[in-house]
Amino acid sequence: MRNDERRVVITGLGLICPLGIGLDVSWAALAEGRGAVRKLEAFPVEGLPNDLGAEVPAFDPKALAVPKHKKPLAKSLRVMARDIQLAVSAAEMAFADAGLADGGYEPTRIGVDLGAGLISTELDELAPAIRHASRPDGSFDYAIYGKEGIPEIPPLWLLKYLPNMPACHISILWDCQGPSNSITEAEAASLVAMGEACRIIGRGRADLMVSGGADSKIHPLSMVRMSLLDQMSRWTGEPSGACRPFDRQRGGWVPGEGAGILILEEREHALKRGAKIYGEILGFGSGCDAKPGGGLDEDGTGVEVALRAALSDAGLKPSEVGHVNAHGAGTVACDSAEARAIGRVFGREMPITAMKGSVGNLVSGAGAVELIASLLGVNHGFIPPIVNCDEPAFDLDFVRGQARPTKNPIFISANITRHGQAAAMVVRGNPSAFSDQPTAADDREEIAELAAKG
Amino acid sequence: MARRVVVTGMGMVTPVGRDLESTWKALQEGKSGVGPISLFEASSFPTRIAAEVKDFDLGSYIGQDQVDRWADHCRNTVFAIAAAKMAIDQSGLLDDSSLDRTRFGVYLGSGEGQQDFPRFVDLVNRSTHGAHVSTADFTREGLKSLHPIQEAEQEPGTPAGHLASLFGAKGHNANCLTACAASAQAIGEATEVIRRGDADVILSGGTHSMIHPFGVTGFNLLTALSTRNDDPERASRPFDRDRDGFILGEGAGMLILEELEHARKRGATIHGEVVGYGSTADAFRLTDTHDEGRGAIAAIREAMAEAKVNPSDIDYINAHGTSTSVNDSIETLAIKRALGASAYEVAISSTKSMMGHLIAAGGGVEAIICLLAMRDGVVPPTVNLDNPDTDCDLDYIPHHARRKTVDVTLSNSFGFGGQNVSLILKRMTS
Repeated sequence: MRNDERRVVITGLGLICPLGIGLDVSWAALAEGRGAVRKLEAFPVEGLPNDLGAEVPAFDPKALAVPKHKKPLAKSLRVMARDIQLAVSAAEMAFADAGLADGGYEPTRIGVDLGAGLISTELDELAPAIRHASRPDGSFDYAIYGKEGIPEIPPLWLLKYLPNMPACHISILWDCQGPSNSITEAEAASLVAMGEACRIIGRGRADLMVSGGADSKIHPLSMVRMSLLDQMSRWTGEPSGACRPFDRQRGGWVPGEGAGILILEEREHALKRGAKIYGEILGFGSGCDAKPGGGLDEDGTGVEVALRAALSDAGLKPSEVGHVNAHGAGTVACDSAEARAIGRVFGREMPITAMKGSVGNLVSGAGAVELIASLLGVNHGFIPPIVNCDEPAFDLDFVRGQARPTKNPIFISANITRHGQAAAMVVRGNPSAFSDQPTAADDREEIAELAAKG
Repeated sequence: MARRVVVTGMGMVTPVGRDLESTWKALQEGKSGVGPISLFEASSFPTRIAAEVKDFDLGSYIGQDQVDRWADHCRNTVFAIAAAKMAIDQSGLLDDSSLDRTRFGVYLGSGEGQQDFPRFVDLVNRSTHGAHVSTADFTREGLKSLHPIQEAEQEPGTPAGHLASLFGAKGHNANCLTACAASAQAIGEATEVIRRGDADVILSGGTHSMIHPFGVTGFNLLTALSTRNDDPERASRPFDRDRDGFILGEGAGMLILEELEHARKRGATIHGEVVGYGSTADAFRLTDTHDEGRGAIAAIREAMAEAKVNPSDIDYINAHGTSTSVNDSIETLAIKRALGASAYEVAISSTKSMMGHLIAAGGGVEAIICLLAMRDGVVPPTVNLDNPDTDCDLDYIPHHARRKTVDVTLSNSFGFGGQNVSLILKRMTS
């Protein structure tokens, strides 16, 4: 962040991921290097390269709502696709965690900027209309569909699947009247949204931003899509081994789902209200491969641009960063490109982790969930490990097996899309957030100064 | 010294013209692009009319030898490429080999690509047993019958990747989708990216087509579309008492946003300056605009404050003006509250009366119209405004374009779900 900008800290976290719901349960699994990839339970699939997924277990949005939202949510859940429910529920947790469940903020000074994706429609909602309009020979009768099919579809069908709806529902529930945006850029979405949210606070347009992202790729159509693009893992061994970031035997990704919502707050605003501070966002950058002909650049140009831009924004040398939380898709091409870019920027000594071996690919929610994983890690004094990187394919320092102790709370998180769109964010954790005295020493001095100023 | 952001290139593909000048000419003449839907068999749909882009030929923009790569790509992508190519060419940006590609970005507000309807309904039909879809059948058969590119193209961030690849933009890359506010929002946020110094040039704007069976289905179910099927050219009638919903349009509008000194150094023609951007949320209800226009008023005020312009400075407002009962009344109320007495002096029009509603692409095209109004001293009309509604009592430039000096413009874009964006563009002054 520039010197003339307001500083942005993280004061609330809501995490729903395949490892569990909530920070403690998720961290316990991450620290032990446990994975959540299993045989799919949500529905049967056939003919795909794999029948695996990283599903969120026992997700009940009503149970996660703060008391005042239980009633409104009971009504509106039916117009929310699962992706939206995940986002809304993680936001409930984040507001409560930030100590903002009862308000205490100016509505025009809080905004929402979320990463969101293409939401697949529930097939059973369309099946009666389509069936009705299909002739015995299988051809489709548009005339019947228009007249008799459309009325069989739920009236608010469209709203259940629009990618701006997570932000819309959250803004209504929490009275967020400030800036509102939804970034739809596949795997880069969450980090781009969080970067933008920081800029909005930095330039003074809001004091609080609800940011992060959510997605569910546990859907038959989403799984067909990723299979058609030849991204899905063809692993035939134990399910937990299917996604293998930076491993020699890596062969694709596994669909995941979840949400990571962060309350981003202007630092003095947070200090004044005595908020628990998980860390500070130091820098953000974005770039793109822009490869002639399209697709990923094998040298990782775009992610290098993003990493360097984020470091420069943070005013840090590469050596000052404690670890990299890489995109680590687990595909042959993407991991190679990313490993080259990381090697060029950070050399061979930089510890690297990646979360997709454990939680699968959360696509639009990936950036937020992965960043939270590293944030929890450094605040506990550890770098979470890569799951399934048994034989590293690159001569770099991958954190494998067990969490690795670290005293450096600064890390950089990166994500890349299929088109080489990349984003990176530098965060400094605050290890005292989990101690009995959750305020860092230099913050305590500043709080005293602010109090003296009135 | 604060970095200023100017527009150095514009391109658009719309239902009334396949490029910048033909669109602008048609709008000044009050020509409608609305007609019967030809993209699919819509004869029994509640709404059977739309504003389609007709006779589109990608090769005429990028060369016939370049079109094979884009076969099977969706309308969003090909419209985006055409509009972006025109904007890039007009700007002369790529004539300059010294351009730092890592400081050249893309920030679009593109919508979802079109669902591959014929293949999808066939697949669902074949996978349905009783009232339920067998997911085993769906996945097994889907892998055989769905088309990889058409499925991939539905991801809304795709055009931003394609354009970066085509034009070598290695800098900041983003796509936002805030429904009907998306491309105005993209321009606003891209402006902030350049101002902050994170890029020098950004290709911005948006692209969208929802003229497909599920698009019409969705909006018909929400009763948002006009059903004046027997009189297409008169169906989009913003601010008129007989308006009955909006008309779907499609297309793309792209702008080259550039830091002022960067543009000056390379001798670029400057078409105007982005001086104000407001973004707010209604935070009210899922399906309704705030009944007193709270979010819209705040967005307009924020844009004016950032632009340091007074209400009386604004010469032209390109309204959101969708032709739905609620939007046009609430927007009128919001303009009055935000501009005070000046609301009655300012020239306002809704070009959706001719082009329909380009959804995510609307804001991009409408920002360009503001710049052209400035350039030529002409404000386009609101056609079909025969009988202004009782609560729509401002100067909406009915029926015919008007000659007028335009130095400062406001463009409103309000999205389903309550996102409000206002942009202020201004004639370049030293």
